[in-house]
Order: sequence, then structure tokens, then C-alpha cells
Amino acid sequence: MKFIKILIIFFSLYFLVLLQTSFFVHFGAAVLIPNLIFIAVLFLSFFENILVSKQEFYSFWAAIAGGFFLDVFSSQFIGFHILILLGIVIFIKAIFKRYVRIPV
Amino acid sequence: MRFSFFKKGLVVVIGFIFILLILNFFQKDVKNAFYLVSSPIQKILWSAGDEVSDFWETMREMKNLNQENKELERVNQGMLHEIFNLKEIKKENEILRQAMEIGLEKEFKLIMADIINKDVLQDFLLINKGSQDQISKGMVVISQEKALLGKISEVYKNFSRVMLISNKKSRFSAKIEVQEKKVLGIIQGKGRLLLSFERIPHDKEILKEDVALTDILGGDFPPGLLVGKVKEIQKSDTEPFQQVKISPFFNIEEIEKIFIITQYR
Repeated sequence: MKFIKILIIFFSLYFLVLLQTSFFVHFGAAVLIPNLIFIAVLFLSFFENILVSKQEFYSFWAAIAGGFFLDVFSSQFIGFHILILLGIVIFIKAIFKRYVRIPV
Repeated sequence: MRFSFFKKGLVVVIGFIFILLILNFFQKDVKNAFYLVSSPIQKILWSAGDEVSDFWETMREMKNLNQENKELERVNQGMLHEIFNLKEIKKENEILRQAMEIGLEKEFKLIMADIINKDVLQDFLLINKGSQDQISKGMVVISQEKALLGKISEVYKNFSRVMLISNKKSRFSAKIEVQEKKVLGIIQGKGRLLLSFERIPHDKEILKEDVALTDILGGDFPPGLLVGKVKEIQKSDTEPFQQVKISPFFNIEEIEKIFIITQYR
């Protein structure tokens, strides 16, 4: 089950990066298109902590997969976005673990 | 217990760094493989995006349609007169073109390519021609209208990455021809498809809508390629040079085919 969830995250992020680089590029002049992968990973990271459990690590997989796709479809070296996203996810996890108590 | 947890973490981190290093070592092959798998989907998404953005643009401009219509009617009157003049010039031009053989294909040896995607953060394009098609780093990329797009910055087996002239790393010399005098300057990419024309002294007269062309002095690009139109001019006594903003001639949303110059005379 866990593997299927990771696979779903993986393919969703892949589709998001394709959308971002090939579809939303056309609207760039009219409106500012945000980085969908960053938003998806942030979203997952927040709600995983609140709704699921602080012990779940799907956001780590999302950061690795999302960062990897961003690196592949950009001119950066592989690892650039992975490290940034992992850093953000670790930061959010640490904040939630130390300072946030969610009522059960 | 704590030590074994630390050891486990260390192994994971080292393994992760090792995988990243291997991936970077084979970066070109990894990226090429991904582009190869993704290109059919990306082609569909690219053309869908093109159609939807056209529709979106029409909806946005609906509000100004009435005012624009009146304005166009007025312009149309003037244009009719221009058309008669231009027809005469066209005839003359065709004769001259035949005589001097100045078609795009005559001037350059070209390879045609499609755009696959645009970089998320910077001004780069991915095109569907690579080292297999004799593309190499540094080749110049233009549009059908002879507008300069940029240079090939990275070559994979089946794909290449084009650094647009609007990329912040792009910098080359260009000219604006004003009443048979040329004003030389440097075109600097500003990111997000914007350019600026720099190092123009205050005494040089430049007007809005003036056209910037590549110049032979830089040697980076063949001379006479269209770069962009002057959009905004700012003169300030505190600045040693004029601030000239240029809007590039190419429009990523409308380009269907691009051309790579493999050789120019």
C-alpha cells in the first residue's frame, strides 16, 4: 500500500512538471505561474504532519521525486532542487515535531 | 542503539550522495532518456497550451474590443495608402531578391526543430534535435522571421537546450540604425523574456519602436538578425548611460518551428 502511494506521488509530480514546462509556459506573459512542484511538496509536507502522522515520510519521497524531475527538466545539475526541497521538508518536519501539538 | 541509528543515517546520506554523483556523471544520458519518454506527452501539452492561451488572450482582450475597433478603422485608412506603395516596393524587392539570392536558406545552412519545453526557472528552451542531428554547442537559433532566439547551450543525443537571449547570462553587441547612423550597444538579458540595450551615451538619439539588430562586432551572432524593438527609454542625469528596455521579436507562445544555423556565409 505504501509503495502504491509513493508511486502515485511519483507520477503526479511527473505530470505536474510536464504541465509546468509545456502547458503553463504559454500563460507566463499574462500571469505569474507559481512553481507547482514546490507547492505540491509544501502542501503534502504540511498536511502529512497535520492529517496523517508526523511519523509518515511521504513528503521526503515527494521532495526527492519532485526535485529530481525539476532538475531533469531544467538546466541545473541533478540534485539542485532535490536538496532544496529536502531541506524545506526537513525544516517543516522539525518545526512540527518541536513546536506543534495537534489535538487528537 | 543511538550509535547504530547514527550509523544507519550516515549510510543513507552517503548512499544518497553517491547516487546523485552517479546521476550527474551520466547526466546527459539520464536527461536525454527522460526527454525521449516525455516528448510525445510534452508535444501534446505544448500545442494544447498554445490553443488555450490563444483563447484566454481573446477573452482578455474582449473588453477593449470596441475601442480597438475604432482605432483600427482609423489606422486602416492610412494603411490602404501604404499598401499601394508597398506593392510597388514588393515587386522591386522580389526582383532584387532573385537577383541577389538573399533568402534565408541562401544566407544560412539551417536545421529545423520543434520546441519541447521551457525551463521552469530560467530562460531556456528544449528542442527536439541533438548531437544525432549534427547540432553542437554554440550554434545560433533563429525563428522563421529571422528573429534571434539564442544559442545552443547544451547538447544531448536527441535533444538540445537553447539559452534564450533574454537569459541573464546572455550578453552580446548589437546596433540600432537611426537615420542611416548606427548606435552601437550591448544587449543584456534580464530574465523572464526581457532585454535591455546598454552602454548608450546620452547624446545618441533613440526612439520607441526602433529596431535592434545583431552587429558583426561581437562575433557571437551573424550580423543583421532581428533582436527586438525599443519599448522604453529612460534618461537620468545620475546615470552615465541611457536605460533602454527592449522587447524581443520572438514570441515563445506563437513560435511553431525554430531554425538552428549550422553554417553562415
